[in-house]
Amino acid sequence: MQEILNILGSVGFNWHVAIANFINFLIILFLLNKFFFGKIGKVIQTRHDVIERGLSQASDAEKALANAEEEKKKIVKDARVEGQSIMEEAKSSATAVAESIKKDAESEAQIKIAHLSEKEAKLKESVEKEFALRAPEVVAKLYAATLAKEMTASDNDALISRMSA
Amino acid sequence: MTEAKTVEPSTFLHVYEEIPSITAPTLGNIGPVTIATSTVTVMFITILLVVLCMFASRAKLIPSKFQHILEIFYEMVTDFITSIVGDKERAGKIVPYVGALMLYLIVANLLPMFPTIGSFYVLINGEHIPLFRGATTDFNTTFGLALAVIVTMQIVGVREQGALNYLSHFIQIKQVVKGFKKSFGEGMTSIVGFFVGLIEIVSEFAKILSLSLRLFGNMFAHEVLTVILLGAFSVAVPAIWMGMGLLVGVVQSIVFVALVTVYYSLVLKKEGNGH
Repeated sequence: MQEILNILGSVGFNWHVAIANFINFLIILFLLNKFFFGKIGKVIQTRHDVIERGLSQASDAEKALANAEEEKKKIVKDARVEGQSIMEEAKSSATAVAESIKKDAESEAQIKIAHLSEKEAKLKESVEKEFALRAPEVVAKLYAATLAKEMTASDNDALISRMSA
Repeated sequence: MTEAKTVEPSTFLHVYEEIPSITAPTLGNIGPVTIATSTVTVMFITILLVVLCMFASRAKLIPSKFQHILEIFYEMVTDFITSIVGDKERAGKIVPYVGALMLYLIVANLLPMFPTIGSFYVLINGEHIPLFRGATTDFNTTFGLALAVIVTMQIVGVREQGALNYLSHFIQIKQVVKGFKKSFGEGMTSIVGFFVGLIEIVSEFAKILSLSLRLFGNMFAHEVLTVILLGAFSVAVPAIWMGMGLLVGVVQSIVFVALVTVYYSLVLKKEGNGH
């Protein structure tokens, strides 16, 4: 052992200084471990976790967005189909309503026409009756007038045209 | 070293400096501890690292530019250890030990290259001696570092594998008993294993010497060669060599740290089989 110490002594070995250096390095090791590597390592790990969480949240959001997009497409498609069917239904019901209105109007018109024809026939009949009743009187009056007044050729033509009108 | 010597005056082509002594010049004593010029450098490095710790302790989630540099260093150390250990989880367990060592060595090896650091002199026995001698050019510093590495390695080993399990690598009594219970042949083989275990204890001490002497030898040789080159050609060659000093400092730090990482990896639990 002494021999080793002598050999080491030739390169300036001194137990006290070596032990002081040993303790000094252990103190440095403790400080660096606690305040440098411990702290920096923790910060890097925390940042890594935050990034990892952010990425996973972004991926979840992306999936949710894709799902929402899919859902939107489905809803729009369903709405389009539903709209189409509603339109078809409305169209057919409108046609039916128009058809029934037309039918009603036609039947009403038919009734009115019949009613008017009947009225016309009655009126004709009453006119004819009236005429039959009053014709001799009118002819007599006319004749009397004609006889009372000398008729000129132009009066005669006017009378004829008035009669024929 | 403390003897007064006549130094030739420097000229344009030759800078005469005394070849540094293998032992660092002594400034005084604090109790039994000798304060050498390398000790002053160690103190300075300690202050620098404490200041660094103060900055690092304020690390925030959104980093500043300086924190970016610290984080890059942290990631670099983690990647370096992972490349040796082979697994990031196992590497994470020794990052503080290896990282602290790497930081200390890089600062210690590169600090003498820093301009103006070499301009501080102290007058001892009528001789001007540089106040800051490279910390790793003193064997006591490298020995202290290597000793700390081996001690912390044992702590990591015990923590990882459990005290009894870890110590059973060195004192293999259990294996001998088991071996003889199986057969005589296996018992004899386990006796060989027992002696190998005892040699392992010696190898742990040898690691301290090999690590410390390698680093000290390389860094001290670089310093001696710088002075020799300054004396021979003061203009271009020393500048190139001093530039090389940056590389030497970094490479020696990496070599030391790589070896230490390998030692640590041997005491870490392996994946799957427990140890």
